[in-house]
Amino acid sequence: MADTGLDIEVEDLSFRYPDGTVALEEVGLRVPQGGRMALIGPNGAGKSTLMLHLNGLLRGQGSIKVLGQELAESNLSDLRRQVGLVFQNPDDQLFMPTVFDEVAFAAVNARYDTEEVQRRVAAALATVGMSGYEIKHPTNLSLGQRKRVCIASVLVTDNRILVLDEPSAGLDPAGRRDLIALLASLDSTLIIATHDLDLVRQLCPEAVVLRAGKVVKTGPTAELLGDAEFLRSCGL
Amino acid sequence: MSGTTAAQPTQRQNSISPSFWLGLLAVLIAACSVVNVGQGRAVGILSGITIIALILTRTPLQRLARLLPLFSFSIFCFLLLLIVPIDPDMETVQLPYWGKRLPLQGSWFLAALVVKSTLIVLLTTAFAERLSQRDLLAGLTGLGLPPKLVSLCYLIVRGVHSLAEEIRRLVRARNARGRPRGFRAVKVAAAMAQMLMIRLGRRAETQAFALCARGYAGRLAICHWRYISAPEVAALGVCLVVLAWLILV
Repeated sequence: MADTGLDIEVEDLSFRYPDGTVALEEVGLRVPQGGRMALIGPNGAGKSTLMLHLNGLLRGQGSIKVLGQELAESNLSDLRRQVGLVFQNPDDQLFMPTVFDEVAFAAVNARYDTEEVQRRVAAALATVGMSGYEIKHPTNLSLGQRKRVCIASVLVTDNRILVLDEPSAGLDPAGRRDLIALLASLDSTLIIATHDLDLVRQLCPEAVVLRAGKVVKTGPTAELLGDAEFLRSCGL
Repeated sequence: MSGTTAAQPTQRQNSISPSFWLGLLAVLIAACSVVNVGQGRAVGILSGITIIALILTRTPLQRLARLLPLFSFSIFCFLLLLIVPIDPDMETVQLPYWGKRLPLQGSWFLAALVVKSTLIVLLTTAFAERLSQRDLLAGLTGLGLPPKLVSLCYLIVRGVHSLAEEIRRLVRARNARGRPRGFRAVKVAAAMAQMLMIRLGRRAETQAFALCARGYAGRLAICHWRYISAPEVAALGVCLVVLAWLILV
């Protein structure tokens, strides 16, 4: 892998949905190794669409490099193992019958042997503070716990990059605090799409503001969030 | 990563596998499907097995509500038989106490539909009472079915829960704004059905993304499952032969 110092490099990415809606227009994004970047913008700005591109789930026009490699059909499965995607609604993400199976899913697909899968699941669940819930059905957990299971389910394959869509949505204050502490403790590169500006302040030193599928501004979070007039003009 | 291992949903090697129970259910459903409803003994045997299964699995009585859609469909079929024109050379059967004549073939079809479907729904309900979603996935995998078929079956069952959840949300949202009455209730129900389809479509799309994002390639992979064992296959074979003998001979 070419070492560019960047984990994610997106250039001139454009995407149009089949109904003609332009979701992304010449978007650029550069996330350094171990960096924490926030994607902020109003509803419909294109945050979620951009996140789906980082995992190769949607393919637009333009260039996406993950860990120095151009995202292509040939390396998609390898790169997907490096980019963990956590969806906004855990109910969309959790589909296996037990927490163990849910967390093990990506590891089994990566063809680790059973003992290695067990070890990885134990470690991932311990990281998110969900040890002891292995045989529970994911739908029987609280929203905060389900979010944790979602994060464990992508940590299990040692993702270098973690992409989270609205991680704090719907959480109570304690759950939100726990989640922020958990994310702060991770070594992975983090890309977080959110409306939660307080979470952005606490976790992400850099931010990108999106509006109507375009990058409006990129820069230090403190600077961007300190400009109230600019935020208001962006619908934030 | 620590060196510990997770407490996982294991399957004891000596216990009966979920694959066997699913196989047994398949044998019973096959028997119910081919039984001639005119043979009282065969229907009696299958009804007896069904009642025993319901008792052994301690199926709550309220689960019998699952028969309601079947019965309403059967009533609809019966009403169709009442209005169907009867040719003079057509074999008919006379309804007791009423005098109304119904086509013989159609009446047999309706009787078969009611009896067979009732038995199959009750058997499936009884087995579902003791088989978890994980058992379903491990069991289907253990039967050696094609992975895509296993995924499809499991995700359909999972989808039913999503469907029920979405319906609950929509009904709550409707009731919160005052339950509509009369013709408006029908209009609202139609709008809800439309919204339900849209929501389920979106949800299915996101779930497909979630599957692919974690390396899904047509197989819902799990740990700790095993293929159905030779003694279990032999036992299923014996069940099949005995049932065939009891029903067909």
